[in-house]
Amino acid sequence: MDLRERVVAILAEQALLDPADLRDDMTLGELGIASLALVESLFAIEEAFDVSVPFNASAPEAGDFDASTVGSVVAAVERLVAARAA
Amino acid sequence: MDLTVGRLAAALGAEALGDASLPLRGAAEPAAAGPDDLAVALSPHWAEALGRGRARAALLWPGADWRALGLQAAIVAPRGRLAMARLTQALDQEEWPEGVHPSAVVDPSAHLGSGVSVGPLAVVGAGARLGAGTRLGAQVTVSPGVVVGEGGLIHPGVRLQRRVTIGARAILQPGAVIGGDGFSFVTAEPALLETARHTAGVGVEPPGGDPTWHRIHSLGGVEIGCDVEVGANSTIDAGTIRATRVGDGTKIDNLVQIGHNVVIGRHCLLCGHVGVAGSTRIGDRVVLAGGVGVADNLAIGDDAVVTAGSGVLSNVAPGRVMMGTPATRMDQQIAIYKALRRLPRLLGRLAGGVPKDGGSD
Repeated sequence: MDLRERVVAILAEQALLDPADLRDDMTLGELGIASLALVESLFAIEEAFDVSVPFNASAPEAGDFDASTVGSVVAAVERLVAARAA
Repeated sequence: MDLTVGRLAAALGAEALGDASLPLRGAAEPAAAGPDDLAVALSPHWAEALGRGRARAALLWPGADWRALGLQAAIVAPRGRLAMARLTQALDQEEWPEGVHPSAVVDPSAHLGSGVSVGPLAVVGAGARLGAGTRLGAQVTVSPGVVVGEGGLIHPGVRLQRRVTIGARAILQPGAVIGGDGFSFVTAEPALLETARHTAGVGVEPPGGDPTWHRIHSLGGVEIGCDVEVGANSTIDAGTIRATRVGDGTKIDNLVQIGHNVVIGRHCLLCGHVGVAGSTRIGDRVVLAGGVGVADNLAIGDDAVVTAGSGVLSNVAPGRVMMGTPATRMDQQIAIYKALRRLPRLLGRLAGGVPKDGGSD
């Protein structure tokens, strides 16, 4: 699995959906991933990629980690992984 | 009264579109609706299911094109869940026989208002007062001197113990017990738990004296305001020398336990399995989610919200959202949890180990 597939699999698990049904433009709200489910997803991402996600649970779109859509989460994780490797 | 789309829309305070004279028998989910049902489709999410059902009329989300959905009539609801409240109220027309069932035992000194209904095998004690239109289900026990306001709905098996007063329009679900004795006992000398409370558990020695628990009797009863609902098998214990109180408009779910001398304000929500220990004071509009436990002698301020399964062990300021055990401000609790979740990786690094998995590909 590449990075994108792994991130999507993590989000799909919280959304109780098949990873194939997730598209980049879907908001996490649409997927039913809100509040603590979002926090759980971000922990799962931290653990899967050994990164620290800078996030604010009360303002998911704020800060460096844009958790508003599937695509934005994938892009943010790509940046974190790249920064760690650098 | 025969229900039509027009009449129901009027009851909902909403607009009827199309054929307002269309008759209705009840409400149903869109796919299961028959031709005389009002299909309830409060978001576009339900549009596809409407096509699978046989409804001719539906309760729809704002902006829905009822004609395009193949309907003959529609009611549009700006706030769906509020419309559901009014819709279900309008359709819930349970018949309660007026008068006292021959098997009920009603003391001659009890006062029954007009239109009161007393079900089979119910017992109403001396001097009890039931307000006009109040309905008692089968096997309800109303102890002597109890007062129930008008328009109450007291479902089967409810027990109202002595010194209980309840305001108008109460709904008590089956098996609710109001006014049972408080769980209140005391030893002759200070008991272990009292010392532990003062020293936060440090240096506590078993006192060794007479361990007998002396019973503190419950003389205060329970005072419940108007428009209060108490769920099935929930219990509200009587106060010691003054009443345990529940304010107007507060709704209590099933299997909730309210201890003696507790004071609960107005318009609160207490969800299933909440437990509130003795003498704790809860403000107005407080929400305690499922399974929340609140320790004794605490204060919870107005508008506080406590998330499911939390344990409240200290006072809560007004407007706070609390989470976890011990209940902490929600953002703080999430930060704590975040740190806890990161701890195994952190320890792995401290030990000089390299994480086995999770490296980049």
